[in-house]
Amino acid sequence: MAGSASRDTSSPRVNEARQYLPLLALPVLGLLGWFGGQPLTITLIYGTTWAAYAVGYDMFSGFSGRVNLGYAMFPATAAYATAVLSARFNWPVALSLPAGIAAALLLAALVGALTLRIKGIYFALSTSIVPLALFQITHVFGKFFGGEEGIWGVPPVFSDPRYDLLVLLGLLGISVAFSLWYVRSKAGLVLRAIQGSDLTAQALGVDTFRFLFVSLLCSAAIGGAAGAYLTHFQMLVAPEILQIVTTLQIITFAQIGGPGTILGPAVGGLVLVFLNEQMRAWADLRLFAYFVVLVVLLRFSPEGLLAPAARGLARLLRGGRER
Amino acid sequence: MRTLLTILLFGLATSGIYALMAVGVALIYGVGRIINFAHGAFYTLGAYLTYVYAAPLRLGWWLGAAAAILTVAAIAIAFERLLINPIRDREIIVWIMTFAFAFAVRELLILVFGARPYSIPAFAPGSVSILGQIIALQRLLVVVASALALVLLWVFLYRTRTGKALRAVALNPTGAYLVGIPVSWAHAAVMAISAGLAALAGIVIAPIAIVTPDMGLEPLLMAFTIVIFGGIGSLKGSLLASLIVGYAGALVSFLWAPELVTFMALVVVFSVILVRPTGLFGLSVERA
Repeated sequence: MAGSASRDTSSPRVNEARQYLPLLALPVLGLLGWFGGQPLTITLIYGTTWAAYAVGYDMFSGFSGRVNLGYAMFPATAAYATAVLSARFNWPVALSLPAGIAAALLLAALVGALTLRIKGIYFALSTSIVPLALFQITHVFGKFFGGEEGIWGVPPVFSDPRYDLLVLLGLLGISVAFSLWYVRSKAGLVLRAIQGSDLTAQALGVDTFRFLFVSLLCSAAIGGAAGAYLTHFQMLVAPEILQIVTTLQIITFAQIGGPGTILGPAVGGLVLVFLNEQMRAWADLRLFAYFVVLVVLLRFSPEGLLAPAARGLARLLRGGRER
Repeated sequence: MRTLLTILLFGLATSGIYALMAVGVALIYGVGRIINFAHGAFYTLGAYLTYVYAAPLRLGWWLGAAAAILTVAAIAIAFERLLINPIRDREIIVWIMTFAFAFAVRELLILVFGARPYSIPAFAPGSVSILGQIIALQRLLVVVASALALVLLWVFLYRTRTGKALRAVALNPTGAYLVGIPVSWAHAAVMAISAGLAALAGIVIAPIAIVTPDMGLEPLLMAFTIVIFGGIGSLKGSLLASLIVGYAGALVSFLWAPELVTFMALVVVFSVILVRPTGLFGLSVERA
């Protein structure tokens, strides 16, 4: 590895900067979406949103070792909050969007305070229950939350979806950049220590709860922002977002992209949503084929297809230095 | 009095179905350390396969039901051997795999049968009057079938050599392996038995419920509720929790509203995990 050895001599600051290089792909996606016609724009809007979900999921679960099996609660809560405020109470979008993110943060604080002291399967199961309970709430208070129908008539931000794409790409860019910085900061180091062993981290005098709590809030803010914005683009929110399959999709994107890499889950989200859209012609067969492909992939390449590539890329960008 | 009797019987039938599901989930976790989210798919497959064997293939409902249980058990063995076993060490991937399998089954059922609900005629048509309350025989059949299956399971696990071997694997896989128990085979056997019980639950409830590709979701959720409540991996805990949750559900839906049952269950489970993660009888107390 003569090449990487020579790279090692460059300053750490340069190495650190390299990891942000893939963000340059985002303007390219913006251009493709701008000139590529409406169907491509819309596919990219969904791909970008799901990529942001996967990044938000990964920056917490990919590093803390705690699988958030109810991650969809964050985008869903933000989506419902902004939908209720803007469609029912006529709040301007400029106020309802931040309020939506705030609602997701509030939920994250509540859920975090209750669940972050447990781990393993118990953490996964208890978080998986939250969106299911919220789903029930949307039905029990059907008059207010629209029940099965969801909430319609959410005002759009722009009339041209190409602007929505640019906003979402910007959001994804900020999320990825922030997450990459965050997981390499002291907080990320602590998260990884916690993944290794809570006890060791605590014995070293680290307040593990505080780090997990802050990370969960960041994770919720990313998912909340993307979910709230998508609601305005779709002009509706439906309770399906609270079903377990939403979180499963997010975890799948992260898992296939390469968990714990931030970039991998982002690529996983974009690529898989794109593939899924291309399969639309298959009509009823599409979802079946999707899950069969997923089963085969999990069986024969459990690390995912993109993970090795993402790792190679990350190593290259870090200048060949091992973590 | 009549209301009381109705609640008593409905609660017992619901508890029976929940117990058939929960015991399987607990067994698969206890022996194989696998959280099987595909358990609802076995339940649903049981009902659909019974329909296929009985109606288009003209085997009759009773024989069709038996054939469906065997088929589901065979599918479960294939699932465990071909898809789960090779990736057993990767916990999160196994979770996603069981999910993905469940959704693949769901989509396949939608492709073949459509999303419309099917109905299956009662195995035990007619009704009886107990203390002036008219009760469908099928509901009694649910109670009898689940009780019988659970007793048989109990005898198998605690009185036969094979059953004891399975429990040994749950207690200590390495130790079991060292005394010559085929541990890998035990994983497949437990998956088959549990899937068969889930299929049985789906079959006996089908005539008094509706058969749709999503029919397995609610019992799956309740099974997890029960298993967590009773203590993950504990059979006794699961049985006790099935009765509690089944009756609580019957009470809530009679006195309040049926929509609230799931919500209440979720709240209960959430609280149990937070207060006592190991449930009523956690792994630390007793295994399998």
